[in-house]
Amino acid sequence: MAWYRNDKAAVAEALRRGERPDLATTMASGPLDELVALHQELGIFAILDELEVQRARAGVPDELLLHTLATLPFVEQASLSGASEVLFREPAVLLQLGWAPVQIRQGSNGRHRHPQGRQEESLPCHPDTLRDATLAYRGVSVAAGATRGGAVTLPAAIGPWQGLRRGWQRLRR
Amino acid sequence: MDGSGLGDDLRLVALVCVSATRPIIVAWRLLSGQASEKGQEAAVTRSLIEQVLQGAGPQAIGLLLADALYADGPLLAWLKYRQGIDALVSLPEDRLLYQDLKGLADGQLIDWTHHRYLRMIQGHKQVREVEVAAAGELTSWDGFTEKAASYGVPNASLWACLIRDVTTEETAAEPPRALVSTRSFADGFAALQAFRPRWHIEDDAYRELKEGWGLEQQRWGRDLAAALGRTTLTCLAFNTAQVYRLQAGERLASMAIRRLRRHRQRELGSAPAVLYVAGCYGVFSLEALLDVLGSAPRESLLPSLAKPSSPDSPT
Repeated sequence: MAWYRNDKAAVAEALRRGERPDLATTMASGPLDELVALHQELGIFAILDELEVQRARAGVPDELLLHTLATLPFVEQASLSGASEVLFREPAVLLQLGWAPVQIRQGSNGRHRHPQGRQEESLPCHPDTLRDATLAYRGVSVAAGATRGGAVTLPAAIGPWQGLRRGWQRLRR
Repeated sequence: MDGSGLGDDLRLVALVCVSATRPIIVAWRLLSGQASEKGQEAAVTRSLIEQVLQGAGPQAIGLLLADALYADGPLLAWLKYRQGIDALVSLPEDRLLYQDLKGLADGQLIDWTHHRYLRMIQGHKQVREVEVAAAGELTSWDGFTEKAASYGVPNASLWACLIRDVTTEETAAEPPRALVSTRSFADGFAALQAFRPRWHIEDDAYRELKEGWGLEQQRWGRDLAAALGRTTLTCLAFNTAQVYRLQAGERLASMAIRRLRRHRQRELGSAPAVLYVAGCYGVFSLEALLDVLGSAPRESLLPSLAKPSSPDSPT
């Protein structure tokens, strides 16, 4: 498994040669897709990107983990593991969140419970890794970051309550 | 403003905008330990108010609605005379102001008026009949008047009303409930109507957060930080979903999709496919894909796209 280059002509040529694709996904436009897009449009991901992470680690970028976490509440399953399983079966949404195909297919870290490592049913990212990401942001104020991010669409949607989104929330006070 | 327990040890206190079509959570705190005990909400109210005013400006809040847990004299004075915010709050029966108001009504010094209105309960219309009696210039709340005096307002007073539900004999036999406000309403019925949107917090916000979003059942971990993260991300997602459900939000959702896809070619259509092969990937419309595979459709249902004058010209 390797990283892929954006080259539509090369893909078309390979298909004409009869080469079988490694992967094929749709770019779906369902409610989850739209909610994630709206989340992005409202500047929620931009707000989260301004959080300070209180740790240093290798592996999946923290921004990607946090974007994934921020999407989990939209999934029907309420538990972290259940929601993760549902979300990681939505490659179109994962791509939208910034996951690369190689990360989705191959997994992003070596954290596996199975003694033989990654299994076919393994998720690209263990739910515990996502849970750890929530802990990595402890004691961090979201409100400061919420004043920026360029989100102007939420106030437009809620009419006279312009600017309230700027005060979104402090994770802990 | 309202608070709700999340299990035995956590309490969520939220400032919710109920003047929009759908409730929007504008600020919140997740409290734990002693701070999460019922009755502690007033302590965090100021910080929530200040947070919102700081971000949204001094005119952001016109009227604060809250239940009896927030019937705090110094808080009402601070809201009115420091922040310029009127409050309309449930008044507990054990307060002197309530007793005074009830005495005025019992002594027929203020009049009861009868009103009927329609309300929706679990999707069903129900006629509710109430009797209301109101009085202004009330000063029998030392906590309020003393704090107001410290803010340079020596003659501060409150407006309050009694509300008796006379829909059935059973409800009519119950003691009247009361509302108190720093604003003088035209009559008690006007105050009751102004107070009704507060139920959106319980019905459309907290209940949905708990039952629909699973906030109480699933905290994503035992650690408080995990619960904080879960609550924060869920409140943000809740707001996005509320906006999505607004008419403006629906337009916004499609706009967001369009913006996300602006970099994609129009001819791909609404549901293109991504194929990964030979170390490359490409995005194809269904027709283009079939064409590449040697089975192009004989006819297309897609109109031809006009060629722009330049690759960067607006479409």
